Amino acid sequence: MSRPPLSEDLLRLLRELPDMDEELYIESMTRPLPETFRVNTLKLPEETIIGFLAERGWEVERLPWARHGYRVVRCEREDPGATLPHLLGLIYIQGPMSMVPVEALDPRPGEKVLDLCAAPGSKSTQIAQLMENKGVLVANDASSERIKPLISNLQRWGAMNCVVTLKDGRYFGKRMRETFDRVLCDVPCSSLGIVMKDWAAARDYSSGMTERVRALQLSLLLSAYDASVPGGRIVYSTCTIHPLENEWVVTELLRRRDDAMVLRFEPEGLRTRRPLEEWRGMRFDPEVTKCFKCYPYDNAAEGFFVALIRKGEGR
Amino acid sequence: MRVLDRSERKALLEELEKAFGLEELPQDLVFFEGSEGKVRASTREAYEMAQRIARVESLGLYVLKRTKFGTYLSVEGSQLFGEKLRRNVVELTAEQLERWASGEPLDVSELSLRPEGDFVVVRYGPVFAGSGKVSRDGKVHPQIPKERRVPVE
Repeated sequence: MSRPPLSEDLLRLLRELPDMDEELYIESMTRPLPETFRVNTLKLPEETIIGFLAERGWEVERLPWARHGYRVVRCEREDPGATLPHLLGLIYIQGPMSMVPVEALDPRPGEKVLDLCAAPGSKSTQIAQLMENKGVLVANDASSERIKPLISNLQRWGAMNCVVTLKDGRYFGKRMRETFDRVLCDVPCSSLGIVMKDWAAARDYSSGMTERVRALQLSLLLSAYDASVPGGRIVYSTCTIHPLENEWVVTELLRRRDDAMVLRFEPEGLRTRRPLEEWRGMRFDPEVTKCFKCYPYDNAAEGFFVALIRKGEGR
Repeated sequence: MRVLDRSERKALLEELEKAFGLEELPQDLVFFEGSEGKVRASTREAYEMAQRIARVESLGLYVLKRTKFGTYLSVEGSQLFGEKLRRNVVELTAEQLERWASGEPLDVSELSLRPEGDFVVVRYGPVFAGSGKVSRDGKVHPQIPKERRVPVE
């Protein structure tokens, strides 16, 4: 496969990251992601669905880092998303690393949970599953175009405990303060960890894009934090490799909310990296090293950044 | 969106009892009726949360539709009630399930039972796959939205 096009700003960024192997990153862009999915235990027992898949000619392997997650070894047709098990809602096709933020969030049945940037719904369906359809999940997105697929994915998944809203994510920190036990803040980003899905992200990337989006990311994370109950958990995640969209945003949260704490979370079976402590002359909060990131070539999967944050009890 | 009160829940259950032999509705769920006769269900907590938020786009799950011909279950409705459905449930063969999922009508004569009403629910073992309308031409037409049909290869 030919070498993908990279913008000058992206090339500069890759060279500025001390732990980045530029050649491996570029090579990873040319490799398709492995096909992975979750089985829907809201509809049938896991072994029943796996048996149904096997009967149809599927061969699958369990993913160690996600409950109910599997990798497709062999499928009944080329596109697993066009199969009967998918269309009946017995499985959900989802990227391998995309399952990690919800594992870090670890929602429980009966809780109040907010997914701040929910569309198209992969992580919302995963949250509803771990909540066993009990309690309430507010699945929000700011895009009117993306709300429809979010609603149809939640329907196909059989999510009974969901309220879908179309709002600017900053609404929740202002109007619904201290409401949710757990908040997922999986923000819009420069997508430099998933360029294998769309080379345009690498070709069109500009540092101005990061400058624009990091202010939004911070305001969404502050909103997520303020919407959480004292003692609640917040997961901040991106699918980018840029320190200004990752380490910087978490550092700013810690600076502006002095009772925020970063917790360690280690996904099983994944190669992870510690975030940077300093970059371009900026020193990040030492707590940020409790977060983790993966580059796309670390696990032959998406690049991701995940921060698990706990809100203090006494304010 | 209007929440079904006690007498309306009772009437809904009577419809479902007549059509599919369902004997009870889950007590922990709230049912409400929207446009086009579509009935949705949600947890009580989700319903209460929706009351707190200024405007919501969607709440809970679409489970059934009331039409002038009768009441039928969505794919998720058939899966929600599943084994509790006692009447007009047709067991499909693997080959029939494939045709069904692509949206192809099935002949009543090839089904494992003769339908007693206007709608049937289909299953393949533990997998429930929605409802079909029994038409006068002796066929059962899958009530599966086009975007959820398996494309023919």
